[in-house]
Amino acid sequence: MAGHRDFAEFYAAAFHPLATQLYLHTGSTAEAQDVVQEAMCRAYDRWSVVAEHDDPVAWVRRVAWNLATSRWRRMRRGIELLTRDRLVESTPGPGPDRIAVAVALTTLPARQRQAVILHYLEDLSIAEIAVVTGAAEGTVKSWLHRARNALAAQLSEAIPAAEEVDRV
Amino acid sequence: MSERDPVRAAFDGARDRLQGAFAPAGVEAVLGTVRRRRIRRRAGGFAAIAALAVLAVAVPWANRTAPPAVPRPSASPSAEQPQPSPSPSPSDAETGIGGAVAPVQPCRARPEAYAEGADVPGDHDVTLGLTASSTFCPGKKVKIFWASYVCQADGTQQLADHEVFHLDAGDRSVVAAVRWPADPEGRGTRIIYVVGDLGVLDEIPAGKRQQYPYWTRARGSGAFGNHTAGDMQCGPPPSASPSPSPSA
Repeated sequence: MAGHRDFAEFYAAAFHPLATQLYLHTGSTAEAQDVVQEAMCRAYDRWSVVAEHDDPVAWVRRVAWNLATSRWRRMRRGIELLTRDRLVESTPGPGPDRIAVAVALTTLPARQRQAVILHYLEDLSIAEIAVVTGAAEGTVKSWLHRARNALAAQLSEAIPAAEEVDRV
Repeated sequence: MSERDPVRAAFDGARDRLQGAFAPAGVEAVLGTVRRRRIRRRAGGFAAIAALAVLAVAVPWANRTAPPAVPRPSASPSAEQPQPSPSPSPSDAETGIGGAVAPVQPCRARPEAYAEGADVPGDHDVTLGLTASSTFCPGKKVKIFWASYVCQADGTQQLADHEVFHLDAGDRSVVAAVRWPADPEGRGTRIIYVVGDLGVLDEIPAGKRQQYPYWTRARGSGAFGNHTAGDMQCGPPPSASPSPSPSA
């Protein structure tokens, strides 16, 4: 019972930040929620072990990111979308036009996108990102550098326009 | 004063804007999903165990060879009889003693009989016996008998008298008081000596000199003596007799 209560608290605290990261990565709220929910299911299935970790969120984050970047899962998801009539999102996600960084992220390669999201949203260090992505730290540094430059360039064009809209 | 990183500012703004953008399915959904998966896993485990159990039974059954031969129980089992060995030796296989190797053949006695003093007219004693080369089945006696027949006007031979004896390896001969039947009409009489498991015929049909098979070593039973008195007017065999023509 205590385990259930702990998990409920964990779920409430961790779901939203993880879903935010994965929404920015996938561009789909449904996909982000689906992946995080699946990671939570796997965590609960072995909660007695996961709860003993120093950082259970790190475990769930890694599972969720692995699910999101799994080619096999993407392929299965694509088949599901083709065979079902149409996926109806229960909660319409924020349009990319509302979040400038979401639009800018779509132009980045997947690995750079992942690295920059983990760095800026989760405040992970280069070493931690290297662990999550399975890449060398030098590679992560390179990804972050390129991603930051690309995003800065795009955002410098988009942000003033948005600020102008806000002022009006 | 350093300028704020526009990228970090954009991410912070995104985080703020995405507050409340998601509708988590909830902890109860997680519990339900995990419960269903555990049930499915357990069912799959049981199914796999059941499949393995079925295979463990079905494969040996499908690959089974002929069932081991079970020795037939003898008619009168005795303590002296050798019991079939559970693991027959090669010598057993050659001699056919091992029950599991060679099928058990039913015992078949092969008596060789003789009749002394049979070819004598009138009532007389005849010694019926079995020679030393006769073979016997354990616990079984050999039937031996004589039977007398009289020719009838219709060509048949009717049983007049007979006597049956049973001999074995320890009692191989018997003296029988054979009586020639009366033959008032003078058609002929016959006495037949038979050994083996054959019945005494009440009548020998017309055209048959005798209906008992002749004794041979291979058959091990049949008529081994046949004596007649008189003309034996029982009529010739049908095949040898010219049938009267309807027009004649």
